[in-house]
Amino acid sequence: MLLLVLGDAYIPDRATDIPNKFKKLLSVPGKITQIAVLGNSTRSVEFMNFLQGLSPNMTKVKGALDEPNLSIGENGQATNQASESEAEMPINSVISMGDFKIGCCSGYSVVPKNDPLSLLALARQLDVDIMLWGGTHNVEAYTLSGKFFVNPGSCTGAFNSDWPVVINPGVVESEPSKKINDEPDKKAEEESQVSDEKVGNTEKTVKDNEAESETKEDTESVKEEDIDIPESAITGSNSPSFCLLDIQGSTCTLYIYIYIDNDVKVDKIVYRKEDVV
Amino acid sequence: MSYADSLPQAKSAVKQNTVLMQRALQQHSLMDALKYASQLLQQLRNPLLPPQRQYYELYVMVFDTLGELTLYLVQGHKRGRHHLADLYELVQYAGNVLPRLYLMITVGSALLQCNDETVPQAEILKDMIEMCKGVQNPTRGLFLRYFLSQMTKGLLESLMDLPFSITFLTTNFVEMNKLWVRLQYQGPLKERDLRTKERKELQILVGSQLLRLSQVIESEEADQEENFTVYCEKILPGILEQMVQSRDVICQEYLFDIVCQVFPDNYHLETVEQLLQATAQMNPQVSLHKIIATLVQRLIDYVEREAAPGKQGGRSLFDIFWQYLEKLGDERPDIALVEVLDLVSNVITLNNCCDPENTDNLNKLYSLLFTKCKDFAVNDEATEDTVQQQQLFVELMTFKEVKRANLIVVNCPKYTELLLSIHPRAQLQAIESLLNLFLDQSDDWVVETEDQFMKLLALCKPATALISKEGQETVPLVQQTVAKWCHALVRATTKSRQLRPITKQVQLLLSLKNALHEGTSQSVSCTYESLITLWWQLIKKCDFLRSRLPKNKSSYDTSIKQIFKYVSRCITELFNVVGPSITDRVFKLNLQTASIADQLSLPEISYDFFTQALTVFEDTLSDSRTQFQAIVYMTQILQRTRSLRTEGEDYYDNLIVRTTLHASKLLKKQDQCRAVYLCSHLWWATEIESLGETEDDAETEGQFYREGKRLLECLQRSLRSADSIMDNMQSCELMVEILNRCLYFLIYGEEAQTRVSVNYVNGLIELIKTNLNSLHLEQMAELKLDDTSSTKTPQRVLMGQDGSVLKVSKSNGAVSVVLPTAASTESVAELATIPADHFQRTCAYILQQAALDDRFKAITV
Amino acid sequence: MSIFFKSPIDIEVLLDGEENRKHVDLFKGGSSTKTMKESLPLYEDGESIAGLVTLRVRDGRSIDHLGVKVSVIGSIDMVKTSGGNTTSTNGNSKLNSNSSLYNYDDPKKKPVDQFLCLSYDLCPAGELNHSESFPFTFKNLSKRYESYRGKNVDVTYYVKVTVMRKSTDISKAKKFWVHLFKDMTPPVREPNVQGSVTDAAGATSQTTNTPPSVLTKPVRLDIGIENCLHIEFEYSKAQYSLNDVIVGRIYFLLTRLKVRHMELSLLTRETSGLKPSNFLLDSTSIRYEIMDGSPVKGETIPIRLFLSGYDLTPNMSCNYFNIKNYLNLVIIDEDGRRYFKQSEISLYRTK
Repeated sequence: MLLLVLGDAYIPDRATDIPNKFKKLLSVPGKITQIAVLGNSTRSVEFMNFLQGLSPNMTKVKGALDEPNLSIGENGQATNQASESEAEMPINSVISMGDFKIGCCSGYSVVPKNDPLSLLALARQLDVDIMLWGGTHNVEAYTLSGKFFVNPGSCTGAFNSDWPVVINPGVVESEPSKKINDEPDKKAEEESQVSDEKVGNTEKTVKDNEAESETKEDTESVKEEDIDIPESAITGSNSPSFCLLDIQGSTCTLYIYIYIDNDVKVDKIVYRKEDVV
Repeated sequence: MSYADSLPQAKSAVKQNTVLMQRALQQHSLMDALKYASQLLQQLRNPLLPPQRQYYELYVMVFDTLGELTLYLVQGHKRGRHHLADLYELVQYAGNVLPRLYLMITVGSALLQCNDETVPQAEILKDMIEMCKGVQNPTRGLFLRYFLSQMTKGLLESLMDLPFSITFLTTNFVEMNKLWVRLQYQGPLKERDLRTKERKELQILVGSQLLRLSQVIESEEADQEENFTVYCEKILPGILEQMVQSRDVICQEYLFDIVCQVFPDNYHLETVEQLLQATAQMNPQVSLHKIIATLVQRLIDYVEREAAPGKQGGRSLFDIFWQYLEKLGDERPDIALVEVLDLVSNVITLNNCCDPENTDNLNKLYSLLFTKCKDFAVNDEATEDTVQQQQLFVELMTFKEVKRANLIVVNCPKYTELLLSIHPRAQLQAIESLLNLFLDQSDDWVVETEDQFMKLLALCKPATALISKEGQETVPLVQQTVAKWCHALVRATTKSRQLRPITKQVQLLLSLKNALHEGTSQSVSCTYESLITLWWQLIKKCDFLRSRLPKNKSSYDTSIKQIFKYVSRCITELFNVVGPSITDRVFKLNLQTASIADQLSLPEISYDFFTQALTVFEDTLSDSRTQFQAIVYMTQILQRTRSLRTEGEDYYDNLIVRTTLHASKLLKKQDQCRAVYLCSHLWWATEIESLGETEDDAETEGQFYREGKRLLECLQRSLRSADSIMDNMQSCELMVEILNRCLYFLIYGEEAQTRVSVNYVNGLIELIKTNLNSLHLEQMAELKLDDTSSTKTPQRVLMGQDGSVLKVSKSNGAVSVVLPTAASTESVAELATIPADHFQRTCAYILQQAALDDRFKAITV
Repeated sequence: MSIFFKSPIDIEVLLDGEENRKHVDLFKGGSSTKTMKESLPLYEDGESIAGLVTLRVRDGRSIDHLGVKVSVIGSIDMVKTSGGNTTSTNGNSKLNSNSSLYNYDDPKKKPVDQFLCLSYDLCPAGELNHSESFPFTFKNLSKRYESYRGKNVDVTYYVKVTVMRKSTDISKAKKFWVHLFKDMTPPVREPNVQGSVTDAAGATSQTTNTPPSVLTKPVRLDIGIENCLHIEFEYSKAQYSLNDVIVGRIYFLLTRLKVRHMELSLLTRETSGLKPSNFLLDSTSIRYEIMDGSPVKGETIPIRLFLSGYDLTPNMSCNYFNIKNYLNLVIIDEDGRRYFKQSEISLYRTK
């Protein structure tokens, strides 16, 4: 069973479309059992139709800028009508698949934002094994306290108004099993020794970036129009990405698709429920 | 001797006589053979057979038989068995004219095949064609003359000179054409349609004559130039004259088409004016656009194949066609718009082939159509346009390559004018497809100058203005397309060195803003967010460039501040134009802009946007659910700010106090409770990866803003709210949530910092247990009343972050969600498990954590 | 008579060179005997007729006779002499008195005029007891009329030998056929394409081959039905030799008829009897379709009709009858109605 997870498309206000290669990749009818849309993706009728075509089973959770009425916008739309539409889009949602319970949230209601312990608390509240969240425009996956956390990033690489995502270009090629000990809480470290994995975001400081750029600009004659501004510097977002979860009984295989240099790179991580003691 | 009643009978008569003829020929009994041939020819006199299928079938049989006869006649003549000149006279005694002529042609062509010098060959040919006049019946005449043409094929070329052959073939063509045209008027009036059908089926017979002419002229080895002269002076004028004189629509359309098809395309290039001249004289019902399409296609073939310049006698093809179009415009105002459209689109295709860069020409054409549209008042809503016409317009107005589209829009001012004047439906369709083209091929799209930018911008104006006129259903799609297109348009400008500088970009975005502002409120609500995103991106660009070009720092600083003002104005305008329905978005856009300003260390600007957001919250956000979510979002963003505390004035303190205050004043207790416990985080800053922050650094430098006292106050305040809620289940669940918050802080910091102690946690656990007990009692009571309820819960029940109830099916599939606003139909018994289960999970977590953290061992579960 | 008893004498008439002479094939007169052909030797005007008469006596018997006479006879025979009367014998004593005259082809036809009757005795009266032959000659015999075999009228020629006896005379007739040729050079025939209409302007030039006496202008007729049909037709000339070709054309000035086809027919009219009660008999000698379908205004339809292949009768005229030829242009419309225009042409025989 395949679960497609994506979010933060921001079409049309911040992006025009998902990459064509994503479209081709996804356009295999009947393959996808379920779609989880993690917010900020429902404004584009075209995009929604595209998703609807992939699978009729779609769970949407409300993102910061989701206002479904807007796309059908009539001028004096009544507020109770608005709440009715919102009723279709909850803050949280839970999907049962195989042996897994999977929680969805867009991430904007998590305080502090992107905080693993907050997410863990939410996962506990929703009683789920896998927590899907969005809102950061950065693809991530890790395990914590035996639960699996997946952020599919933005499927369009849309503009991110939050602090820019730090991207290590080598991140996709990095071993998925590579251990990264950047748990916020040292006291939880012992636990993460065996099973905690984290992908998608490794450390690279802003200072490093600045140092690099400073070395290039020693010639005084450089003109503004000659400088190429990298896309990521403008959007503050990671490259377009989405995730597929292949769920077979108690095994969940996560595939991460990232669009880099006009190409799609795929990463794979396996999460098993037995891992939990 | 007469003909048979049906095709099968006729066929069998032909077969029978053929066999008899063959036998007679074997016995060298020529007279008998001729008699049988004459008898089988009687079948061709049959007026009852439909021409295309049955008569043709019969004709083919007869043709084969007469072919055998010819062979025998030629051999017999050569062996002196008979003299064909005598036979030529003999067969003329046949009493019926049709068999007589078939036999004459058979014998005559056999005689010609013998190539006997003593025979006056030209006279025979002339005689045969002249005598064919005796058959005036269209179908029979056409086939007879077709027979003549078949039988003389090759003979003409080998025996006669070019002028003779041409005269011969032209004469035959003229006569066939007359008969063919006349066919239309045979039989009763009510069978007109049938006649038309028959004519179309027979047209190939007439067309074959033109093909023969082209073969003759091309087989001729003589000087090509001479052939061409003959074509120009004799053949073509003859054909065109027939065409024009016939006044017959089918004839004119077909012949023109055939002329274009069968003669070499270089001829057409040279005679294009003659051809066009002829079309102007045709029957008004002729579909000029169709026949011109053929001509144009042939010309294009030639120009493309030969890489020719597309000129004739020093004049460009375009000029010739342009003159033609103008003339038509004067002389034939009756031509339907849809036909004019097609004509023009053909000329456009021609121009695109011959002189693709010449946009002046195209502009002329668009201008012509523009005038036509006005004449026909297509924009008038009352006129029902045909679907076809709209389709043509769409095809005409759209392109396959973005570069071409860009070129036309930029260089043909009339293009946009025309686009604005066509029928709204077509306009909408054209614009959508145009915008999508720009989007799909945005990689190849470059906008070079501001002028170009402005012209392109004009494209979306109709789309944004159109909305109020058209139906509600389809328009938002266009709006969304426009919104997307704005991104592509601005991107296209950054590929030009001229437009790349920030100052230019600011100007362009201001122009864009003005253009979008003219749209309807629906349009603005959709497009303005794109615009705001573009401004944000421009800010980021400035920031990046500032880091690369420190010498220009001050100018970038100024630009950034200025752009924030534009953003502010855009948000205000968005609110003003769209109205209250957009309040929530305006609130969030302010927050997001505030966040961006904070990231750039512009606390004053950031503060300003935060206060704007708060103002919106206070003044216009009324829905309680929206309010709750707004506070949560505000909390999340504020929690991640860094610059607000660095200035002398403590903007941060000001804002978080206000936020917490708002949180505590939310209408519903549940909302208050949740919002306030989340506000506790406002006094507990956490690392932001992008800044390279880590917990360790924070501790050493004391960089993070952490105020444990206030944090605990929030948790306590929130607990009070939870406790005061009458609904036991709600109260319990909120307490479990607060417990989890406490655990969070317990993990995060020492008690000294967070003021959250193990004791406090233990106290909270006690409280929860007590409350759960009373909830259990309540639940039991209800179970007694309704015993079945415990068994009918195949699903688990949970509570979401905002208090909504989630019902999770045990089987595969998503959840159903009951929002807190909706009237809860669930019994206490059903929901009572929520806090209990949640508490159980929390306790399990505490035990799990105790294995790692000694402090947790002190918590009594 | 001869059925009941055999004639005692056998008369044989042989013409000189009969074997090699050109013959004319004819159907025997009388409708029941159509299929029976006879072949007669052909003579022309002024040609001598000579031969040998052989008388054979049967079984060695001898016969007394009053003399043997040979005659050459030309006669006009008719079935009816007046259109009003069905009985030909009625009150014509002159014909009845000539009972010895006899039409060998059609017993119904009775001679009305013997325009030629020459005879002389071959031998005087006496007794015949063995076979005997007598040559005879009619030198440079002038023949006024062509032989003709028509419906009501015949022109017949024969040599008759009569053995005169006290009782019934015994006689034998030998028929021959006469063609009268007009003394003129026949038009030169070009092979195949003679009279092609492409040079129809040369319709007059063709007539240059004929002597001035028969030189005629082309026949042009302008005919029509008001508001319905208006045609103009043209034949190259009005007089044709029997070997000739009729060339012409029809020009449609106006046609509102739905024409099915158009044909040309040649009509031979035999007018006989004594005026004023003429007896007319028409026979169609040629039917020739010249057009299939309906032409439109402005069409020209060519006409070319070879005459030599047909057995036609040249124009003839005498007191008792005349033969005239007519060309009929017939237009048949789609409802089967026939429209025609007749115009007289003159046919003559040339060598």
